[in-house]
Amino acid sequence: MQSIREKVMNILLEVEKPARYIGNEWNTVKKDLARVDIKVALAFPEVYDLGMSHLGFKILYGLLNQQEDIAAERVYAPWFDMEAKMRDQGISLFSLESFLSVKDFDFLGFTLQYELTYTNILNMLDLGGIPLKSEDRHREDPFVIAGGPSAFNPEPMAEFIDFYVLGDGEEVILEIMDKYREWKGQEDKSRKSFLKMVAELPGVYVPSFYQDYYDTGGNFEKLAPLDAGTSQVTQKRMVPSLDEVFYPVKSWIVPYLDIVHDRVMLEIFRGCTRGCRFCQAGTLYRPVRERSPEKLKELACQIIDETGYEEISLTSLSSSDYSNIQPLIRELQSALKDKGVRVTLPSLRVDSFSVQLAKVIQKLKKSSLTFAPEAGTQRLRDVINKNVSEENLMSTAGEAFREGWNHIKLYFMIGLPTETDEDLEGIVNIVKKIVGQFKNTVVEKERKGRLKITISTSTFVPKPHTPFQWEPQISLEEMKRKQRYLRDKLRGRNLIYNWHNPEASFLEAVISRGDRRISKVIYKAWEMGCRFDGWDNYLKFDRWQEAFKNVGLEPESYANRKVSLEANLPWDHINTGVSKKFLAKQYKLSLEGKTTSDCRDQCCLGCGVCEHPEINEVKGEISTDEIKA
Amino acid sequence: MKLRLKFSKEEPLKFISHLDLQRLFTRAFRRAGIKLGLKGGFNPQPKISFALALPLGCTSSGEYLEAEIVDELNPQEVKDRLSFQLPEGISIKEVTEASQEDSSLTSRVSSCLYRVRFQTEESLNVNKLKETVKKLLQRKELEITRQKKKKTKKIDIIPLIEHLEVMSVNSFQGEVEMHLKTGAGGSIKPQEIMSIIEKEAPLTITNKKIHRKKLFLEGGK
Repeated sequence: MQSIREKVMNILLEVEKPARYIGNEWNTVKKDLARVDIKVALAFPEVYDLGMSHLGFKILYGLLNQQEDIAAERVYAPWFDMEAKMRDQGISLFSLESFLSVKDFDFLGFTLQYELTYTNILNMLDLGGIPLKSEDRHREDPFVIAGGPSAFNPEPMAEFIDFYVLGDGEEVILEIMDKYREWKGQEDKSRKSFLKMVAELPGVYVPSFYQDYYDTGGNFEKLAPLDAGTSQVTQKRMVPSLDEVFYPVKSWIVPYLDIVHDRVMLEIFRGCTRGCRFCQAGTLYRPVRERSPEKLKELACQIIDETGYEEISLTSLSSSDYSNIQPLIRELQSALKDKGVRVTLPSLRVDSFSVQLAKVIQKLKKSSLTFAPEAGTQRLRDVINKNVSEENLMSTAGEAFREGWNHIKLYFMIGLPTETDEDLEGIVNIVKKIVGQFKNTVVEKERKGRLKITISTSTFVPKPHTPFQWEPQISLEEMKRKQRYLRDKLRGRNLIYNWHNPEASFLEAVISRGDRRISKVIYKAWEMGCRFDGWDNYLKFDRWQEAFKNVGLEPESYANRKVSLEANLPWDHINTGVSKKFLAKQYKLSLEGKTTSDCRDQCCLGCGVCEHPEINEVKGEISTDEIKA
Repeated sequence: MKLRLKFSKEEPLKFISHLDLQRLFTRAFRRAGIKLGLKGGFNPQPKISFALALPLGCTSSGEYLEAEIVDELNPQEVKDRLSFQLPEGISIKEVTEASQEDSSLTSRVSSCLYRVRFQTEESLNVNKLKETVKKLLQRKELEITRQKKKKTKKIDIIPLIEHLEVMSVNSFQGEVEMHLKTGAGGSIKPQEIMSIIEKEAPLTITNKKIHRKKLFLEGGK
């Protein structure tokens, strides 16, 4: 019989980008599977070109493979053409290292980065011959686990995931492996006995140990443990110090394909304390933990030596907030210059400091600068706690133009709580003023190329564990109207307006705030052929609507409903360390249009996360150093 | 200094594109600690150029590239250091110093030798296949049409074939070798030759593996 590898190689010339499926990239860890005790498949529910850049997987891949008795291998969602070929030829979903069917692993771990990848997860299970529902799995099936930001509302995928890992995965994963070794050595080898063992670990949530309840009106009532011994809440796990924790160096895989973010990502810190009220990551990754400059320099040089990459990006939720970011950049630049390596920053704060940073970075090629004012008026920016003023924005733009940039990208959100057309007009005004700023700043004959302003709007999605988790999303019609409004007004030879697919934002809201019943809708949608829903061209919204109808749920009741502050929420049993009380207080302040400062600038705001036993102290201070360019 | 590398590209790397291969080499040079020269001030690119792009899906045992390196190094040392940094599927066969005065590799490639192994639906007869090829080569003119965007172009391929020969046939499998011209005077792809054979024989090819055995360079010192 032909092996999976042989079968795959025979069909690859008939699919797009075959290099997605060949593995064998530089720094791949390939172990003799006959000589390991535990096999872990790390599965990213998106196509290779997107999934390969995910930092979390690089960390887990390296950390697990560092253990002698464990092999971790990678799995990605096959693109449509490949899936059709695989189904036609009876090829199971396989890992890229050993071309082993995912069914033959001990663990199959998915990362939940975005709700619209959930149908891909079901499709991948199906392609792997693994029963989709947790309750239908047998002893020989792998344990299907999940983590990542969207796992902080685990309920919509509760029927399919055996257990969840919440928070920093590198903190828990080896403890899970220990439990597995223990379980394999004991007499009771039922799935349930292992689930009971891992449920004892902080940060692990086993959905099948809980029952969901609804009131007579069909509204979510509560979620409760089935057993008296099961913990009511699951606490997220946190790495206390980034300097001591594992970071991938030798296992940093260099793909053949030109993937998105094809560069080294150097995580300079985790967490963000700016407190934008719509931002889920701002809650989930608290508190701020910085890597020391010494450690970063050491890592940067080592990873470049191991990979040969030409670019290294300093990533985090808000990189210009790193204490002493400028000395860090200069030091990295001087250490890497001789190797011909660029140092880059992903996005910038709206201030002069950031323009100066960009200047240090983009010495030769001034490509574009990206800023995210998020809302069009001061009033609305205060509501969302985005502490940026119009003066900041204008002076920043002016400085950017003076320094020679002529392409600026602006990110805004539409449909934010309390938004009116005046706020949309505010976006238009800002853009017009920036155009004016360009004309005032750069005299005609000094202009190098035409001014270009790219304006992108996404639609506000009320996310669990944020101060806006109780707020409704605007209706689909309203999204379309607002986008039309902006489309009509943001016309001009210097302007490009992009907007986010309204149906995708709507579904994201429904699933984000979903309870356990949404599992059935996801199942139905997958059955009707939905996958790659995050891709505008492939989202089949009508089938999703049919799936909701079929299951008897109204998607609007999830997305467009204002939830009472007193109500139990489907994700209340997941504790991010930030208290619900704090979120409620922030919510009230927002409606009063009151801002809150960054806790690194001023005093502690009492969100609660630093009281966590794993966190000793919050490191880092905001730099006030002047820049000498 | 300017170096010429001869290398092979085997399974499974036949599935990576020419652009992927360029990136692969640039990164391998960096890992090996060999600094490449740069060109262009605005967005500097490494000085590395390939003789002729190998189509995705083909293997090869005789590819060439030229690279400008900053430091003076022994070619053998470059071969050793670089080989250590290349994935399974790429191996360097030879590194020599190239003359700075030589015209570009690309402009000097005149023809290529290919080997095509294929499988057919119907049983093959060696004499019949040889006869097909013979008749084909005896023709004064053999036109094929190429589609380029909306334009169609007719090309006589007879002058582009240096040599074409059936090497072996074994019931459902066959092997042909072809020496084909390339460059400014026109070029023909092995796939196109196979399509003609398929049509003329006639037969149904189910699977073919194309291997470039050699690149022929002209001129230079």
